[in-house]
Amino acid sequence: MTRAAAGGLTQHGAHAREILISLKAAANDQLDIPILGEEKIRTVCKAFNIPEEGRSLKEVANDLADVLLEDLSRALPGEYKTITALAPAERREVWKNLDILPISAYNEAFDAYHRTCVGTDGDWESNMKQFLRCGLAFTFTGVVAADIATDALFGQGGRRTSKVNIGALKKGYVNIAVHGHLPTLVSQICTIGASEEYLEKAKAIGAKGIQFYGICCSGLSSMYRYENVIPLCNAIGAELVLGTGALDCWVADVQDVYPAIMDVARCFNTKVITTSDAARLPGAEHIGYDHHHTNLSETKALARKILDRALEAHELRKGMPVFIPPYEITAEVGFSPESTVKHYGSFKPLAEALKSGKVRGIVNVVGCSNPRVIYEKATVDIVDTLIKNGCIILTNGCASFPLMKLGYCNTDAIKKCSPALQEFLGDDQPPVWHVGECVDNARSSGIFAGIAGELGLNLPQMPFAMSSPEWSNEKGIDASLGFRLMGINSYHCVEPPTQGSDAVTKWLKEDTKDILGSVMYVNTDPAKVAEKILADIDAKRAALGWAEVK
Amino acid sequence: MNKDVENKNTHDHSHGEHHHHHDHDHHHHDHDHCHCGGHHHDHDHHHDHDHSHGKALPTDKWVPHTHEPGVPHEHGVNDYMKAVAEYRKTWPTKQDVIEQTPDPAVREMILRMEQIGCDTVFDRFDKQQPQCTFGIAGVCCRVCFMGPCKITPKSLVVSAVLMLTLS
Repeated sequence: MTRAAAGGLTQHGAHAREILISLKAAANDQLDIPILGEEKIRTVCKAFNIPEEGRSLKEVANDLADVLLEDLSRALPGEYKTITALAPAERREVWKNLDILPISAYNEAFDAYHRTCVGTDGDWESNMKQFLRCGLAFTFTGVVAADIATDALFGQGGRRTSKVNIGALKKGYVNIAVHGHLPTLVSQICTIGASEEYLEKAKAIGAKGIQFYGICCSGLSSMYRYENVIPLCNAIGAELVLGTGALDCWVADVQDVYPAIMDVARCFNTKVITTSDAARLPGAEHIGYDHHHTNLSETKALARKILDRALEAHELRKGMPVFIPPYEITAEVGFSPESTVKHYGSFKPLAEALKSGKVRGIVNVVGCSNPRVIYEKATVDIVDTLIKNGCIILTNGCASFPLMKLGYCNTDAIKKCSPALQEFLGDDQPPVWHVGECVDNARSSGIFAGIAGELGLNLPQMPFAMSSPEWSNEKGIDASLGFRLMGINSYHCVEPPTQGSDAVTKWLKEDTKDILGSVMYVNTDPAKVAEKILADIDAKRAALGWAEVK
Repeated sequence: MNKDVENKNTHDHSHGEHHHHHDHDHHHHDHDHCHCGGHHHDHDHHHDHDHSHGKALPTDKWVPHTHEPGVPHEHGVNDYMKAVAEYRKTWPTKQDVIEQTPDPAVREMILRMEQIGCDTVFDRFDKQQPQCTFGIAGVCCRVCFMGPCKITPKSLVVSAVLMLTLS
């Protein structure tokens, strides 16, 4: 478990590092892309006490990147600045007393591997302490810093309506999928690919244009920011999408890119291009940054090269059989703490609605997919029950795909909600608020913290929950742990790999109640999970003396 | 992985007279394949001709390589079961250690520990037998929670049918 948490920390940590490198390079003119999130940068700098008034955006962005990189990589014991700047005071005290404040992301992954090496830490409780440190480093660097840096460099993106699902695949276009997690190169592929120049190039080979599709989190982060990206599926669905035969080119970077995509790509002659030094696939062409990022300044040239390969692939693939099931729908996306405040004026209306019971609770439903449970069903079943019973759902990452595809992110889904929730949502807010990619759990936490702050309550008291029903990944361990560290219970349909130890299982699922104020609940039946979430939310409401919701 | 190494071993796959059009295990090309002679495999095939090619590659080490789609080819999971069984036979028992370890002090202490009823590493090693064949061969993985998985002939997907359908 400790190693799994360290593994997850390196996953989101590497994701954060890539964006921080880009942000710093953009601030120092080594990377020719604009810094679009000035407002976010200046707001965050205030929390970090980074002077920003009267200083240029690039100077401030550079300093912000430095602080976040320092938390990523500090070797000597020291203060984890992101925690000091952004964690609620009550939580900081809890973590300090438990002696689980991390030194840096690198250090905690390093320490986790070291102490679990042969003949080192034989005390499971000490191991679990390191597990918690990994969870905090994961949360504040892997999630929070990655989220800040993404918004800082690429802008936050706003509320928009997006097409989703496989039926949105367009015949006759140069179809390019982006799959993975890293936004820098993808941003340039999508931007240059939308240019007049490339439209002409596409027409010259008999195509109607270039269309981009998003797989997994790359799809989500780019859907938020570029008009021309249609999200199709999560990581597990990648083979199915390739099997339509409609994709000319598949651009993959890191994480949740299963090697099996190569088999299907071969069948359909789809050109697969890998772009990260850390993630190569035999049979794919590699066009990307080198290990030392010496070619970061060549980002636009790399993007062009990839687009040119896609055009070549389109020509070569003419006549390839295509099978596109006709399912397509629209989803409302682009929710965030900022958009919530913009929509409601402040967090107060949401806080009041929770208190009065119009909104029973708020549940963050996220996570991967896992063949141990029926694909996408657990996520959908849980959400369906929760909105019927008055809960608002926040979602991101792989779990958000079924919710988008099956209409839960559409305003029509209001009809599925309890009457009280319908009244609160009105005509233009769907019951499921799509906050982005997996590192956008920071946005979900931001909404949670905003509401709790409005009421002057601590997170463990609030009728909030986190559920990753179909989680499957090391970072999935940290993601739910991150919420439990915040004092928010987590709920799942997949067991953690601890059934061999009663002590560790009991600690993981129950005993953290005493130290963190939260527990982990696992039941393979999604109906039982939804029932439990509602019961726990009601117990929290009762403890606060809030209105009972029937 | 070095590009040169990757491409160096793209080898010719016309194996004598039967040019069969299926694909065994053309996936996972990053695991290195052993083409030592005498190699046999037992995948599920959709044909029933003999499949042991006498023409094994003259290589004595594991060489990474890539293939063109649909190129017939023999390899995949090597017979690690047999190799592991042989390897396992070389592992000493506690009794072997007592009889053969060179330092008499070690021998005496092992016996002394036995007398006072205190387990040692040599007892524990005996109790772990037989250890997991998949783990010994390095073909199992418990990194994610969709697993644990192991590489076996059965677990390697064959997309030959699909390839034939499309071609």
